[in-house]
Amino acid sequence: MSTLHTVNKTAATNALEACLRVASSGDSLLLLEDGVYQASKLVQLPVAKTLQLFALKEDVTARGIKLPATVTPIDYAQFVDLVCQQQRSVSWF
Amino acid sequence: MSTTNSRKTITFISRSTPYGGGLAKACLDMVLSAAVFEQHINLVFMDDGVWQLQPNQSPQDINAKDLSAALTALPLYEVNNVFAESASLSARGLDPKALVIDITPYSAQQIAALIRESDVVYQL
Repeated sequence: MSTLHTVNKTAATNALEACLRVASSGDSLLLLEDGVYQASKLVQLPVAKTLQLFALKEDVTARGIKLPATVTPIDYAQFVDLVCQQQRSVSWF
Repeated sequence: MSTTNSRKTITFISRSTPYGGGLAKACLDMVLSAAVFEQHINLVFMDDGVWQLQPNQSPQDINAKDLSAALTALPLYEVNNVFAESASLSARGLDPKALVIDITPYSAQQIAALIRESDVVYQL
């Protein structure tokens, strides 16, 4: 069983960097709120290939961000499903 | 890993400086509260959270309580699994053997394993 990590801040905090340091292969990572701004940078990192990547659609649309193909957009209902599928969640901010 | 229905493994990841905001104190309060309920607790300091471990804190003149004094209460609450990320300590010039409390230096990989063994993880 794996972990869902959520990141809701831009690179002005090191939330994403800290999360990636202690994430395990097979974990899921959801970008939401201002975290969606980090999507394109995230997919360029080697560690991103070991994770399932998601971004909250509403927050992406609101900010006019274009998501890389390897980041799956999900809505709030799918966010709930994702939380239920994982053994634990860690919120990074 | 759950041992019984009521006893959970809870890992707290403290990444905030002691006096720059309320998060470091909030984390410690959560740890002590959970300890009262006899939960299995891991406390991990990483990034700027390791500044909480700096010796000789005296925050009286900034009208704050000494958070490091509260850390010394952890053993009384039987919180004995206290870790700090080695890279976070060395990046800030902190000696793992000269901190306000005894901690176990852990690598990022070891912290990842702690998370995998936890029922609940709080990061603040």
